[in-house]
Amino acid sequence: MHPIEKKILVVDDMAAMRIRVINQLKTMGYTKIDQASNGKEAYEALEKAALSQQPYDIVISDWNMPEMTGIDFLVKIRSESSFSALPFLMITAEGEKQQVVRALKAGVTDYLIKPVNKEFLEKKLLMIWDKHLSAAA
Amino acid sequence: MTLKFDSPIPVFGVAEAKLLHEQASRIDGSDLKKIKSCVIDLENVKSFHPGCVPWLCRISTFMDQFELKTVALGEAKLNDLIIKNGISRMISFYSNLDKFHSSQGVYDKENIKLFLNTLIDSVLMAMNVLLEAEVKSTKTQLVTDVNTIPKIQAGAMAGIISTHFNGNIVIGFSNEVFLKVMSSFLQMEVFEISSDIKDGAAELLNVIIGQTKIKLNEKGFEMRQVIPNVITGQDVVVSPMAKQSALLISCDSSLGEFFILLSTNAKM
Repeated sequence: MHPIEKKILVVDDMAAMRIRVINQLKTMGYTKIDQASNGKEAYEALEKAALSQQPYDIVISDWNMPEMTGIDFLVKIRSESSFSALPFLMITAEGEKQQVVRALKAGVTDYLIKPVNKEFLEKKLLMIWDKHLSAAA
Repeated sequence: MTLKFDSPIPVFGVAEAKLLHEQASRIDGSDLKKIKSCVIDLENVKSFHPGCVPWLCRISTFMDQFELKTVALGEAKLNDLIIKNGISRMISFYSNLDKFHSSQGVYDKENIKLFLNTLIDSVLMAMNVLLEAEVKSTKTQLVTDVNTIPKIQAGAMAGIISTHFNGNIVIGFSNEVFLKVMSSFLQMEVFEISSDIKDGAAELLNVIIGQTKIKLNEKGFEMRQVIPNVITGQDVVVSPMAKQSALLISCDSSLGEFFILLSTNAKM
């Protein structure tokens, strides 16, 4: 699958941030993008997509969100075999060492500290696709 | 004014700490309202039993309800004990009373200066990456007259808590500048402050404080941030409380002028 065919779920409680990330992804060529405003909504979207045989290829999520935080969402999906290998990119303003370590321990695929520009996000996604392809091969 | 507890004996164990706590909890609350800090003088102590830590914490918690800062005086060993047990936010360490007294007034100013410089660097960096805009801070001034703070149409406010001071930060924009800022942030042209874009100011502030937090916490600030609130409205007046000190940081960018207002309980 060409990278731009990938299906992406963007999770952030701030509407403006979701719009920004989605617009960045669109300019990179991605078209299959959905959004959720917290971990709970995102989890429901993942389940629904899996049931309809159109699973997501990656989750791009914030950390601090109401209802279910990004880290709780990550822990939840990593405990389930169907989502245990799903690439998960955390983009957050939480950049202290202990938080990064916590996310890594919880099974985050990659971690970006805000502010993030388009070029950096694009590079990071390409790295994840490469890593994912080599793991699948 | 300080309230002083002495420990004349060289070994500070559980019994001594417990005794000190009992002594503290017997003090009349109305007396504690008149003073600023509780100083636990352990300068003569040569050895500490780890079991004393919970009792020192209890003293600090007791003093905290009267908004009293708890300070411990002693040798480096005491500081190690405080740091090792992660209670430096509850109990400040000084090697002696003179150092503590001389730090009052100067200490806050130094930390405010460090905070301010880090905050300004974070504003410039965040705006540069998020908005691709060249930003410069044009003026930093102590607010003596609230009328000098520009009225805003959009912005965000977030509380901060740290070992050195508490306060809040506001980022404020005019309608025109906010629309330009959000058009750049969202990478699409926006013409009005809709519900979808108004939280963009909070996101900008979030990133600015996040960057500041990373840098300052490496220097022992133990800074935490409260979730930001969005401000929108016609000519909103932002004013610090009368007892707070406030600094107005005016910024200019290729997208227009905006400001950051820092209000704290520290002396400036």
